[in-house]
Amino acid sequence: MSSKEFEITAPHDDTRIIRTGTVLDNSNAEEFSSLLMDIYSSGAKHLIIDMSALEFLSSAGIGSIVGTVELFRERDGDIVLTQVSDKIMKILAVLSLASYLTVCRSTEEATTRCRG
Amino acid sequence: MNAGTSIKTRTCEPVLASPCVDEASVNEFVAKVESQLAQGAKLIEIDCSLLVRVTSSHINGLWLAHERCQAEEASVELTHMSDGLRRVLEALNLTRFFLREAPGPARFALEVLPAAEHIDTAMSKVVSFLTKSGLPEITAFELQTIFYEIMTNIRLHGQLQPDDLISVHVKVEEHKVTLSFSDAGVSFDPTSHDLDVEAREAGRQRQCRGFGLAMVKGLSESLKYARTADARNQLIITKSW
Repeated sequence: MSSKEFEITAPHDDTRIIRTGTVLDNSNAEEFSSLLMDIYSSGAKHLIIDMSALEFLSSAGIGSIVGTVELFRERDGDIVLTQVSDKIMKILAVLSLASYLTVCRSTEEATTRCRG
Repeated sequence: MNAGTSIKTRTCEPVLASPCVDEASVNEFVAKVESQLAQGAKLIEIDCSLLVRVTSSHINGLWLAHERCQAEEASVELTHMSDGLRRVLEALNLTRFFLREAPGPARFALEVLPAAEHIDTAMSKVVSFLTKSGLPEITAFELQTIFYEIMTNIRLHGQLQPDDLISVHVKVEEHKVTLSFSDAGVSFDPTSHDLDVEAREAGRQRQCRGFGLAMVKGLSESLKYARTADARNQLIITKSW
């Protein structure tokens, strides 16, 4: 997988996992937004964003997530960020998003949480 | 790395000097230094940020670290020293063993075309310069983010011509970086806008834009803007660590 591609898996019928590459910035944020909307439109209730490989997150990437999260919450689901590095967490904290968005330490923990 | 280069190479994470004065803590500290030397490190950085009250035990620990490094032909560098520690080292005439001559500010300048690929290339050069200047990794990352967001903002909203150049200057002083951006785009003063983000409201509004300048403000110590006489935007950002 290249640094700017995304990998999607479906561990359960109502859950999707998107694994990012190392970069989520203006060059691929639009594609990322489209993927999030496609997943939402498919009826998925939960979306897990695996950020284990993510090294750089721009405001456009953040906008993709913030612009979509309430859609999932309105259907009693959520967008869950996992394996977020300390550096990326600092960026989210600066925007007061660290407490607004749901963050889990691991994808397994997020998957378990989504199964509720 | 070529012999004789002045570029500092840090091969391991800084060793945190413990504020504890008991023998076990000193031994543990020295063991960490020895561990890095065993991995082939030639420059040991000792983070002294926790050494607020300096005692002879602390100085003894630092001296033992120096001796271990000397035996392995490595150097030791103390960072985040308090004024108290610095005065003690000077009083004991030990500064020559731990402190390099304070260099003047390091500077880097470049001019960038307002296209994404050029901004990416410039960002790599700036990050490389900041890293070689010895900034903590997290600080270099935050500055990279500031650089990217400002340059992208200029590119997307400045209405520049493809051959208009954005001037960037980077100055690194002890514990402080100054980033200066100058462009010939439409007048835009980021300091005059409400940059704060209210997360829940942003989510409710499904807001997908407007986070960039908020990130810059949150990561910076100061932002100063001026519209120059020759119709250029000038933005000066400082960040300390």
